[in-house]
Amino acid sequence: MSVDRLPSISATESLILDLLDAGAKFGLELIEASSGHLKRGTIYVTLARMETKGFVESRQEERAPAAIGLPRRLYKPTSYGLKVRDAYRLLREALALRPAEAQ
Amino acid sequence: MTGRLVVAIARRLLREETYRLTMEPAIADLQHEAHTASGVRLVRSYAGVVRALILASGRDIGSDLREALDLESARGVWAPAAAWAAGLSLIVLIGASIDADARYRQELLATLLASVAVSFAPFLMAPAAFALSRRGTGRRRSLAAVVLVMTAVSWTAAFGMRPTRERLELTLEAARWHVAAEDGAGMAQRLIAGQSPAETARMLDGPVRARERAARGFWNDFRLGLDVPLMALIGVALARSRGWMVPVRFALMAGAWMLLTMTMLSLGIGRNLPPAHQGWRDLALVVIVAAVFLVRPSLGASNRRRHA
Repeated sequence: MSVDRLPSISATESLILDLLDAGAKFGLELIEASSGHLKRGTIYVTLARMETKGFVESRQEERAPAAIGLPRRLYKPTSYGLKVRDAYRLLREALALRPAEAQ
Repeated sequence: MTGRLVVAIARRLLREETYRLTMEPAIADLQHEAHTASGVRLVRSYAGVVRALILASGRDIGSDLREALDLESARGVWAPAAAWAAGLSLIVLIGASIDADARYRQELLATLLASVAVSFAPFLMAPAAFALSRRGTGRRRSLAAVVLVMTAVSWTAAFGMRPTRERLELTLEAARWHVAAEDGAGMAQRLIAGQSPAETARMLDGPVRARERAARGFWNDFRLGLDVPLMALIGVALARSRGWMVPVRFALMAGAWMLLTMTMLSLGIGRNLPPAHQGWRDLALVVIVAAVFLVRPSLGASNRRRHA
């Protein structure tokens, strides 16, 4: 029986999932909602990585045909991404409890 | 349109998927913000987009390197390229040892071995880069990234080997002077009792010539790194226009270059060029031979029927 590799999630990805859990957002809206924790330069690379991992999904916004410029991309979390976030949250809480139990 | 320059650069640098997932949303948000923001805030927005481009490029280069060094590449590309480079090195070593005066053959071989060790990486990389260009589609950007990174690796190897090679070159130089002095070739210098041949050569060389020799060695190593992307990019052009028999064509091209160089030198053409210009002469010959191979389809088999 083969053992699948466990998914990993960083603190930044966890924060993004928390923010997206409240509702789908554009990249700029995520930066504004993060109170400075998310940076303009890194968020798009992080979102692309999360989409590759299956934590988020995105779609281009509906626009009028005459609109100028590129269509913006709207992000929302996947159920898999939220599951991974919740699992790591439980793990972190469990590890944080261990020193107090040992005393 | 705001961000037009960034769009143009990103489209050229990045993979299609990376551009679509990373840069398109970044630029779209920038364009959205440009309607309301101005001054410092807009500059910060541009800076963020540029930072995203740099990070995305780094991610693509990492992916390119992983693909260039994976198991499929190891079997199908690097192994044959290593065999080709080893064969070429062996031919050069055998040819030089046959030609060399037996009295300093050992020093010559030691110096050549050090040079081969330095140049093995770029000569290995050139045909490997050509063959990698055949994998998949739209590889021009990723190939350029691999070539640039491997050029940096070959430069590092070249400069790392320099102390060893310089020591060996001095020993070879001293051995040649030994032979010339024994032959009575008009040299007044003799070995000073108690000194090694290398020390004597260094002393007789003088500080000025020693610095000239060191500078020449540095620029030779630098030019070695420059040769690599040139050969690799010529190979990409060959691969795209002439089909898959790229190592054969590259070998034909290298053979034509060597034949042309030896013919020129034996006729005395370009032999008296200053050492600093000899490398550029060699580079010019490479470009001329490559241009002939690109223009004349009859030189090397064409596999266009296979791709039809």
